Amino acid sequence: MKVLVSPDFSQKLATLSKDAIGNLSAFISEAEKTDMVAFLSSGNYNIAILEEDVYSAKFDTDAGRIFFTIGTESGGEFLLLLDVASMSQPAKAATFFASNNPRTNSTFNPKLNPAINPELNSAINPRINPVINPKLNSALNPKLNSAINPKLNSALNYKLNSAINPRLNSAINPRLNSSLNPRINKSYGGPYLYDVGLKQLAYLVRVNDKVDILFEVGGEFCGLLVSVGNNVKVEFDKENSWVGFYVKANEKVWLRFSLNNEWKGLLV
Amino acid sequence: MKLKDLKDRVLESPGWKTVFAFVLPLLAGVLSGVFVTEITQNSIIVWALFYKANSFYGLLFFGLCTYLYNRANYLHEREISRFLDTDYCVAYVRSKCLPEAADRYKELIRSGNVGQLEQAMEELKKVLK
Repeated sequence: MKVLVSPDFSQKLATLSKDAIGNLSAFISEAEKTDMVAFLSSGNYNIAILEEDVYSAKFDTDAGRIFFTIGTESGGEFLLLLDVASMSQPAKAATFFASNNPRTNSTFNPKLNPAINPELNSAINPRINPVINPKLNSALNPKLNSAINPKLNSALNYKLNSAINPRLNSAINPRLNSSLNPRINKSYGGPYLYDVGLKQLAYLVRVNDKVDILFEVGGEFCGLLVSVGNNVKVEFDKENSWVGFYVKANEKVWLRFSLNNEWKGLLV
Repeated sequence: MKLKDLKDRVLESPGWKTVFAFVLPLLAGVLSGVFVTEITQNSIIVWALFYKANSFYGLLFFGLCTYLYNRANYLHEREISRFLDTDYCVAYVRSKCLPEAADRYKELIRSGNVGQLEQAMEELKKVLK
């Protein structure tokens, strides 16, 4: 079976220990030597199917996992490595590993990439572009659009909907689900919320297509984001009060604005 | 043997569990008796002498060992049990949009546009060498 790797996966290699890299090498060698059915049924890596075509495999102690998918193409069977979770003792680091780090990759740094700088690109500046300004576009304003207001739409209210409440749904609580906790899962990678000085403030856990949850660096729930269309997310604090909004700058970068359209940071 | 292997062995060994659950409390009980004897003067316990008793430091040491063992055991069991639960893996997969990523990459593979995937694989193999 041919083994391929996604660019997202290879970015996370730096987070793996020497032992983990050795185990990963053995995993790839075995996949290359065997066919798809034999590999999945071998029982060597505790392979489990999770969702759709995504599988997980144990590779480093009991807690490290590789996530992959499989398929067939004209050249034969393939296995594609998608992501890795590498568990360790809780770290006390002030900043976590980021797959897309604006400090080290200028593509994600608004000061070095004018395409994602609202002061240089008017298309992503709500003061200039009314389409992304909640004060001028009522569809983006939770005070005028009840469908995106958690105080009026119970599906978005974590106090009423346990599925999006990290205190009631442990699977989305980084303090209980280590795989979502960058302090324990060294390969978590983000997305992280940065201020304009590129300091990590929080990290994001996606709950579903509509809702993302923000957690402070210490793992404390600090708010949620509700998607409005493809290009805007609105931010609410723990009291479900509207506190800001995010504008999509590109596929990976979102810019954070206050209610006064002041640029406050980025999510990447 | 590496330190991590030693730690895993201590945490998973029934023998070590017995040491920490039975032998250590037994020794602590003996030391407690010695401690009381050491700080007793004229049939009266003089607590102010506690730091002069050697057994006090022995008890402190046993207490510290028990705490470190229980802490390591708690972290070990918590991490394993939580991450082994398929629900937690599913939550991670959803949060990272892996099914969507899988579809996107499969489409690239089907269309023969595997350049970036093969390049990433070559880079990975360089690291694995």
